[in-house]
Amino acid sequence: MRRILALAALLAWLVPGSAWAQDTRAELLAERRAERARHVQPYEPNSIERGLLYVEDKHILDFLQGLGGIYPRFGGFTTGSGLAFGAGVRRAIPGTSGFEVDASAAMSTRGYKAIDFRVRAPALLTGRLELDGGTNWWDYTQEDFFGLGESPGGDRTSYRYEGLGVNLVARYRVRRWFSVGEEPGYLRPDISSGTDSRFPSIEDRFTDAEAPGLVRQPRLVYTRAFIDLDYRDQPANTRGGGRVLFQVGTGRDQDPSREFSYRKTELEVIQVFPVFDKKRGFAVRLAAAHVDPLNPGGRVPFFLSPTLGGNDTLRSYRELRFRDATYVLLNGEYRWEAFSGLDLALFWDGGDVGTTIEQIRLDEFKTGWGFGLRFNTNRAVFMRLDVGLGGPEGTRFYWKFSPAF
Amino acid sequence: MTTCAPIRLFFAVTFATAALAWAARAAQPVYYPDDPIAVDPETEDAGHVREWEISDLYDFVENSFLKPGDRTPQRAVNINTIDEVPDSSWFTNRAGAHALTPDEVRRGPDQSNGPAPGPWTVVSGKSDGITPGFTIRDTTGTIWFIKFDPESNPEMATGAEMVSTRLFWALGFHVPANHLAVFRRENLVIADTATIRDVMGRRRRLTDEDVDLLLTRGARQADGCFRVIASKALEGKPVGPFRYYGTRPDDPNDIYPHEHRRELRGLRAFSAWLNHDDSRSINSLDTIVERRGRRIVWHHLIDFGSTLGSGSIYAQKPRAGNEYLWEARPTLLTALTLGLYVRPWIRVDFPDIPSLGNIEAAFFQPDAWKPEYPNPAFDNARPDDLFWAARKVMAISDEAIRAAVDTAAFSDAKASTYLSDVIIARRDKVGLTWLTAVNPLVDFALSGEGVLTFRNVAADTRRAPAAEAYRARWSPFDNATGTAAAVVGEQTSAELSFQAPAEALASPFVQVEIAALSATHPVWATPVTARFRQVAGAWTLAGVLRTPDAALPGRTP
Repeated sequence: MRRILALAALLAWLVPGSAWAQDTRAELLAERRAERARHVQPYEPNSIERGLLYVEDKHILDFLQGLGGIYPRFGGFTTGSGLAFGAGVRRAIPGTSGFEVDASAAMSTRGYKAIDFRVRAPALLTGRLELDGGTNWWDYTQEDFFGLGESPGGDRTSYRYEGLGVNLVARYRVRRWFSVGEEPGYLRPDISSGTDSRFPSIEDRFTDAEAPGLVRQPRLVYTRAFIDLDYRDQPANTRGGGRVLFQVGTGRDQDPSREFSYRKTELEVIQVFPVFDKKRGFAVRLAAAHVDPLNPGGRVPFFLSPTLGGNDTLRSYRELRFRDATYVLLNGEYRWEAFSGLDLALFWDGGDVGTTIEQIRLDEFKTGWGFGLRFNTNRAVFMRLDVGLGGPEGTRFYWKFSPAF
Repeated sequence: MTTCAPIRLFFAVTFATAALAWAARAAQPVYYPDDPIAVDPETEDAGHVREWEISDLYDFVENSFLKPGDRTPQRAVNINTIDEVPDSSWFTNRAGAHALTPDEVRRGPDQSNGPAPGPWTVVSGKSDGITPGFTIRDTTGTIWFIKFDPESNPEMATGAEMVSTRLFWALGFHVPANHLAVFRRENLVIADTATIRDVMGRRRRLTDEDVDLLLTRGARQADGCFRVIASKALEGKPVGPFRYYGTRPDDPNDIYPHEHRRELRGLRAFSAWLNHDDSRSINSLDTIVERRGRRIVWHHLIDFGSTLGSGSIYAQKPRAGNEYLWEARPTLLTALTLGLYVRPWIRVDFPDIPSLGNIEAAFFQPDAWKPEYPNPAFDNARPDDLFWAARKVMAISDEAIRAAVDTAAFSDAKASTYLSDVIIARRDKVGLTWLTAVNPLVDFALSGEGVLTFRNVAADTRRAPAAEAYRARWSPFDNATGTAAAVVGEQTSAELSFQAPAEALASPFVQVEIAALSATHPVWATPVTARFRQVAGAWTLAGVLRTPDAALPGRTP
């Protein structure tokens, strides 16, 4: 009987919250804490939090931004090349004032490949002079060619564009917003049959007369000089300001015939007009380019001709849709911030190509419009989804990791 | 006797004993002899508490989309019986507990004059995170964390840190001792063992080049010196931040869910006042300290670089305090109207004072204020919590505010004047909003002769006109059962005092419900209940119940 009574008393004592009356508030609270002390346990994060802690501890986001030396490479090829992945490594050169080497390689699901090696000296002459030199190799297996000029879309072909380049870009900053520069370089392109099984290869539809450079590709030594007035507030996510970039250059065919030597002139003007604390803005871009043979009777290789169409020119048309010696392009965007990580955009694109500037007619502009989502941080658009509408080629989708302009 | 008999006996005795236990619990009084407690006794040793990490990303996602914590509407749970927050490891009553002098506020948590003169030995660097900085040891061996101003806004982040540190200290929070300091590059010596974490979090030896690179990210004065915040290492062993909901599962003293702690609910009003939009877990730190021979977890607010117009590395965005980072309604409205819907805060004008960033008082609406993302304690804040907080805010005088701003040592006198004026104006708006939202009667006292006196804090602070009249209803109160007897007297007066009826004073406990009758503030008609206990012939305040649901007789005052 005594044992039963003792057991019952013990059970009653163990009933939660059945603390016997305390004399003071302090005793009551002490009892609650003593009770809790019997059940303390270490914190165990749930699986989602554990995953996010891993991302933070291992600095995965920094890795994705390429801040850790080794970095991933996404995209970077023309639209239609498939999903592209790669990796790179960036290292400071010890004992130098900010020199760095950067090597990367990438490959796409459609067999596009590229390897780049760069050496950069970003701040010579007390920060005024920037040098960026290196070499790159690429193999674009199925680039589109529709013919030169006002080519109908039905003539779509593909070609393989391999090449090796070596260059050095020197930029001298006269002011923070004003710089001049020069780029000497060497280019060795090779054109061969395209691998896109859906369309004929270029040589099946076009002759060398219709696609200059199809039979023989020049080895080119080129130079480019530029003047750059860049007063954008944030180049990678511009909310105010603008840019004027004027470039002239020549390429000299190393073949004795000098058949493919050319000169090229390009102009790009960007202006962003902010509204309401830069949460809205109108962005306009005017771009024009002209290339012509340097020598009488010469020709410009089709793969070096200015092109229109695709993710950063005419978004309602396919990539590389129009090519000729000259193009004029107009882009207008109305951008507005939905919230701090996302801007929306409505855009209109228009442009035309021709053999000369006189052939460019406003009433013959190829036009289109569309809308876009721009995912951004404070300083950069890191991803954008643009949808091109209003063109004759149906709805065009673009998923890019860079701003439109 | 059959074999079932002992079992029946066992259940019968158990039932009877449990009933006795229940009865014993039910017999607990509403007010204990030591009520109201002034200090929350944290009686358990917490030396075994382990350091934890809180994922910044998870904190954002969880609070923005999952609504963590208990959202049951209820009175704050860590208050004492007179509706106040006892001193604890979370909070120390300062403003309102006594009249803080400007000198007290100017000194704030500081126990020294900052890093000792002489060279600073850099013991580690930090290149990741929002703000770069490094850790130094001064000539006395004291460890300090060094933080810079951004180049675009010299004096801004350091100024905000200085002012807010002092004001949050005055409000009652535990904060680090933050000092302004000035140094030259030549003052820095790199310790042989110094390391730096690179952007990938890997530790390596700290070099002169690393220090030079860190210094390029900070604002430099015209004379080449760097003006910085030197933040003294907190006392005790760091064990990570605290959350604004739940309890720390390995801390035996942490018995109150954080979302129901009054000082954390009230932090909403404090943060609104100083635009501390970064009031989230990452900007808190718990340490294990020794108090009265016992190790307990001490809770701190840290890092006030994102307050008072400063966003640490840039000026605060106009969104700060006005909208969460992610908010569906304005996002959809803006998206669907092609941006024609203009968020009202976008039109706000800020002064062109780089050392202040973006802070103003004209557009500020305390009850519409928001931190970077939802905070469970802020969401749970009720009018009585915010009233308590507003009293603290209003207890900080103009002179004390100017003293706090003085510590920022802005080189532009216009900045000091503007910031002081803005903080005062925002303080007054906080008072106007939350001192008037509930019955604002406070400081109840009942004399031995039975004269009840009290104050109307909304009127005293000139946030509202005095009520036209006050109505008191007296009842004897039974502390054992928690019930008030029938009303024995009802009086109305324009004065802030009443004579208690003799019948009410015959009881050991007396309850008086006091309504303030105001045409401009009808909500004041909801009475505040004050309960007094007679001890040795004198009446002492035992309980205050301000809010309607809590004003009902209950077991948990």
